[in-house]
Amino acid sequence: MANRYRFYFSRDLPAAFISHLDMTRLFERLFRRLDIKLKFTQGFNPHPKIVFILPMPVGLCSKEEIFEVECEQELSSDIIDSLNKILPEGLKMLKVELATDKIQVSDMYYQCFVEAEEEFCKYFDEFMKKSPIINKEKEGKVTVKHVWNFLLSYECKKVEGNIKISFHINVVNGSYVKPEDILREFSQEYNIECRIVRVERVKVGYKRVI
Amino acid sequence: MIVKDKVFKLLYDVEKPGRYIGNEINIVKKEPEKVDIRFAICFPDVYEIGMSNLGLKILYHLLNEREDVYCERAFMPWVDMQKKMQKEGMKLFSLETFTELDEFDIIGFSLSYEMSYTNVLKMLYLCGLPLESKKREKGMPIVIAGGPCTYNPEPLWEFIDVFVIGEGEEVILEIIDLYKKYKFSNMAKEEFLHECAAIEGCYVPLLYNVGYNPDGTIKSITPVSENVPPKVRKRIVKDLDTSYFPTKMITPLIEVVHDRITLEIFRGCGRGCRFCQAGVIYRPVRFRSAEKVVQYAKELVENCGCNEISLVSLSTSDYPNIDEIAREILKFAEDKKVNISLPSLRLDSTSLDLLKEVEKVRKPTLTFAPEAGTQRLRDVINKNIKEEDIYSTVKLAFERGFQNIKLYFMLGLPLEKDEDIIGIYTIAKNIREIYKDIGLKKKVRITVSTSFFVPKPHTPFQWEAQDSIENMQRKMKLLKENLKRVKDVEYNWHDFYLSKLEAVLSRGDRKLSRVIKRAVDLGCQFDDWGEFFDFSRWEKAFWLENIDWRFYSDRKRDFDEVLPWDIIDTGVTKEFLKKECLWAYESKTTSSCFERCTGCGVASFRGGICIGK
Repeated sequence: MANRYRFYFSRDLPAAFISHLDMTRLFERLFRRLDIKLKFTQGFNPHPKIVFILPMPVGLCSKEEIFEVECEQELSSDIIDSLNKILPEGLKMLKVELATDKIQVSDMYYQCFVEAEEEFCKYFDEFMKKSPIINKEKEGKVTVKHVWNFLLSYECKKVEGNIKISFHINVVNGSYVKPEDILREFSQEYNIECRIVRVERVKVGYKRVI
Repeated sequence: MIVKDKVFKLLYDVEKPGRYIGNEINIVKKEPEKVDIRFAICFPDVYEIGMSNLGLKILYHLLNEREDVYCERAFMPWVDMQKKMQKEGMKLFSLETFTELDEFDIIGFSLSYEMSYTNVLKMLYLCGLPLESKKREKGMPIVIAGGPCTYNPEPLWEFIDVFVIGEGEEVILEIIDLYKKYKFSNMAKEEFLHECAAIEGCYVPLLYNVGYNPDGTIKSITPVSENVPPKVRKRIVKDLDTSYFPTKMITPLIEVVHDRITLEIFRGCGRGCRFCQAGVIYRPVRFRSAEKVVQYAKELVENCGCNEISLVSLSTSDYPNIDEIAREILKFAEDKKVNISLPSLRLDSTSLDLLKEVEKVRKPTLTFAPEAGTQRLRDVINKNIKEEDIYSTVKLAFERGFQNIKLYFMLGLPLEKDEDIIGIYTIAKNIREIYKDIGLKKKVRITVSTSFFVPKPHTPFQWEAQDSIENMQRKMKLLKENLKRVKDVEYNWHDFYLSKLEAVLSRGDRKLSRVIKRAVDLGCQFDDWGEFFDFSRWEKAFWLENIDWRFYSDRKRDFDEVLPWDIIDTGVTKEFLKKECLWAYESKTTSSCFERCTGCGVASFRGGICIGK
């Protein structure tokens, strides 16, 4: 018998600097420590079936993220407390539910805090008006993304010595633009140094599908 | 907290930021204000290498068992992080509380390999401390060092206040007690160092004078005063069952080199290979009881959650009833999807069956280390592996579905002839033949790796010359050309210059400390990392100090030469090493400690299997 559970959790510093693969490994270890039997893949190198709905880039904090895991057993209601007792600082389990449906991400709200010069927002607004493009090279393949194909809105303003830029990003066919990439593109094009202090996913919208 | 915030700001822009966040499972948290002594364990390499080191974890937890001590960790930042730290004017910090290292009482370096010496100096630079022991006053951290490299401490003599020789579990606590007395009184640093030298296992280099002969060899090593011991005897723990072992072991959040639980099942090796330093310095063999091994394994799996547990030792097959123990652990490990790995297993039919059973999860690569290509040369080095045994095991292995075979050899061993090199080719060829004869359809992969012999202190070959670079090159080419003729064989060889530098540093004397400092100033760091190692910089450093490196590597010593490491007493006598060396010249083998006592001298420690002999 296998049950798919959906765990909601938040991530903040310092755990935000754990990579996606390491997050999977970390949860595998935590479940093993709690003696919870997960379902493993078959084959030479079995690994547990833990799936993060949205992969989290290194450095990203988030108010609410989701992973789903298949268990060989039923989980008792105190699982959230048990996990919270042994989670490293920065990670917090929020709730768990039995996953009977599937979910997809529809949109995301981001907040980026950067250290930059006074005039940052003026130039950033100018940059955003020019319908910017992000070229990303990965293993020799270049993907081109028009920022405004994914971006619903943004706002740039000064907050307590830092610049705060909020983005509302649309997920189109499972694809989206990362705020860090927009900022990098801007800083290269305008030759303005902007040092990221914090990137946070404030809210994620989900669609439930059957 | 300010340092912590500063660090985190840098992490958005560096490779693998998880190296610098601490916060691991089973990390020890204390309030720094509430302890008497703050201790920083420093590992002179990146986090992923350092956190794979068992000794570091043992000492970390052992020190933190004490309420009056808070032990934290620091690793060598990668170059990108170093640059950022430098730009921000930040010093090296600890991972537990993000405290800059010059605020600690004691800084302890773990010296696992000579190639990290430049990183030791680099880390001291990053701490903002004077490099030389003499220039560090009371109020600045005491810098100590332990680990296998301290068996020849001389190349780092200027920089380290106290070297801990041997196993640290007990001696470290004695040093802390003494340090407490020093810290909370008006005891001078010099007085502290003198009292330290009286602790068995502590070598304080400043308290010894070295005199040289006109030819550059050492004339004498003499203590500066009567109450400083003329020789420093290594420390061992007599009984592993009663000695400390942490089962709530710190477990990294990011993938490290050996990403698994390591459980030490015994210490030492009784085999006596004549090139092997570990075989001498970790003597005598001391077994951990089966009950303890199984109990620790259980606790470790429960506390760390890793998916693999590795039962480590220098020669796993020598553990009595290793199969029973492995099967006992398998009983609970299998259920939890935990793999057992058994490194350093001598391969034969019984161990193959065991491997098949315990390493269910992954298809292991079989590794053989015959070290030399012919029986004659294997007798010279006292490596007790018969060619026929390799073949019969390989055959069984192929039949059981193993497809990857790795073979390790050394080139440049004393008394080596070209036919010994051809012997390596013959072994690879015969293994390929065996595979062909079985008639399997799957592809086989045979990997032959060679490293160059590095004569190491405290071994029977400590007096030997290392091959010249030209000779190394010729031998490698000879083997390469021959191996080209065998199908499915891949040949890897170790960098010549790296072996050369290792030979220089491992048998170096005090004059090398200036060279190492020059090398660091010329930009040397991470010498063990191919992309950073640059022998020409080292050559320049030697040239600037007017020292010929060949003096240390390519020169054969007389038996009666005073060696830089003669100050260190491993328990194994020089007479024994000399006898072993002479026997090597005659290809005469010596039995293992398990058969009968070879009279090496270490029995004087009255520990392990030597008791009753």
